Amino acid sequence: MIVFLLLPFGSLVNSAGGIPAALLESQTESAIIASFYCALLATIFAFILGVPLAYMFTRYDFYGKKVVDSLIDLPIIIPHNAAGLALIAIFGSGSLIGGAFGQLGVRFNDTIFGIVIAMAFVSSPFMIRSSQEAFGAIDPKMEYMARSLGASRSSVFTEVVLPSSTRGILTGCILTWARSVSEFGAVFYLAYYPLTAPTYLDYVNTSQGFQAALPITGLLLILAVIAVIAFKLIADRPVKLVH
Amino acid sequence: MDVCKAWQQFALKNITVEISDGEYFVLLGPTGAGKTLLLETIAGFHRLDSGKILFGSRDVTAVPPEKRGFGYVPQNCLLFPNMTVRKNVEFGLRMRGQSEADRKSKVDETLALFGLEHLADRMPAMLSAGEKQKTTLARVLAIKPTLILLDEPLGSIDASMRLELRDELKRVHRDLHVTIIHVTHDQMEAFSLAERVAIIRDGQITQVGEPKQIITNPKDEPTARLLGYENIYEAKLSQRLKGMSVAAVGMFAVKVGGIIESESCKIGLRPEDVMISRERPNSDILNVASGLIVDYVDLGPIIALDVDAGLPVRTIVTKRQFLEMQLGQAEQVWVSFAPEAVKVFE
Repeated sequence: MIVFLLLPFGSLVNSAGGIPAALLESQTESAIIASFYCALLATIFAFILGVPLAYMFTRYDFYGKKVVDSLIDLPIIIPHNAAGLALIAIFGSGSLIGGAFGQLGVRFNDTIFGIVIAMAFVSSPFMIRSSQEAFGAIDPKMEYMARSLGASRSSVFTEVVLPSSTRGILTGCILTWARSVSEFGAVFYLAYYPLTAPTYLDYVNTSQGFQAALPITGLLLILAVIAVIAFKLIADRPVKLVH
Repeated sequence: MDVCKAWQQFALKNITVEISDGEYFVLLGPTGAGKTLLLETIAGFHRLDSGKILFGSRDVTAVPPEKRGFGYVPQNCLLFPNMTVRKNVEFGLRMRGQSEADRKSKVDETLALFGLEHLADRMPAMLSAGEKQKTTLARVLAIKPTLILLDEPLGSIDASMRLELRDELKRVHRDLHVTIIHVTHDQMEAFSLAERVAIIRDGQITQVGEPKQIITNPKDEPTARLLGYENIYEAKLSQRLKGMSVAAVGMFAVKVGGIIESESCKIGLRPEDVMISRERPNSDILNVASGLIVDYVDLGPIIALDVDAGLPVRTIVTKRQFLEMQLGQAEQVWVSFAPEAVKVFE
């Protein structure tokens, strides 16, 4: 299985020579920065909305909870090009929501806003599920106790719940960011421009051919390896929770 | 309080009980009786389906937990893992907005009260079970609660530490005059600490009274079993005499102190009320029977004996008595018990 997962790196053999030139290419650099930046914004978006949702799922019962719970995983199952087209229907300039935002000067088609929305849509399940697992590991009675000691609900969350679930949420952030960076299908349809790394690769492959795309492929694979190692080191570091 | 509450597979049904200011009140019941649910409902973690909780003249039914001023100690301590002992004890004071100087002096005072000063900078993971429990108590007492709610506080502690903590609880209650509601399934724990005990079963309180009164007069068979009445028999009324009754238990005529009202009932006897001897007791008053020891269980300082005296009888002796009388399996013995020791469940 390991061999299977490492097979794409075999392409480095053919592309290695062109990687430095690809790295220095300004469009390549812009695409990579755009990917990283938009992925960061998507992660923040998923964190702000996803972490409270995860907490609500862990601690509260409400009508329709099971249905909503199963919907959370939908973005993982839906083909991402289908997701992109669906997002156009919702956020495109001719739609209700898109039109309303347009009045405020915010457009989603072919803008960073669109990229962030597309990335957040496909990667939010990772944030929500990781956070859910982290919150689920905390005994609810610890929160009861904190409240009996005088903590309000918000203080319980910030003083007790968050510190105890830091590692799980951090893992969720890393997975969300990584998934966002690599997103192609939904971004392709909703916001092809500005070019992110995956859409830039597609552009080069389409306009200049396979050989021209190989060095960029190799570069992205190397960056992926560096990112994975860096994240593993961050995630495995003891999280200092001392108050 | 007067409460009804259903939650998951548990339910509290029409529980009405009054607890005096400064009282040490124990809720005793088997697992699944609803003890923890009742405690959590008093603390404010669950909304009532119906009823009220009054604290003095104050209706706290709708008051959120952080505003009730009650201290809650759950099972398994649950210290905040990301805080030192000092920070755990300080937590409630910080949530109440006290100044740093005030917090420091109160925390120092509370740590000293429990002998925890040397552990102040340790993390919970580095504490023993007894130290964790003391820290949990200290954390609650630091906020000077008007009511302390203890959920099986001695449940996860070894025997020697249990005795020490039990004394600690007695001292806290005596010195601070605080009202305590203590929940447990352990009758020894209940009767060694309580000023009054309530028996709770299937979400209902079935009997309330002082420990001595409850243990000598359990209201019904399930309560008797909870209180250690292991010898319980079906009986039929044979005779009513002056101040006494005679009940037929199989082939035996058992003298029972008091009048049995109904024709059929159950009677019960605690093992420690059954005396055992090698010679027949010389008494017309006692119930006496001979039998063979069929089995015995070594419980450390005491030994439980099962005797077949025509009906099964369990009794307990000290290890010393066991050795001195040279008791053992298949040994012939006499068992006897006073009529007053027999309890009737109509």
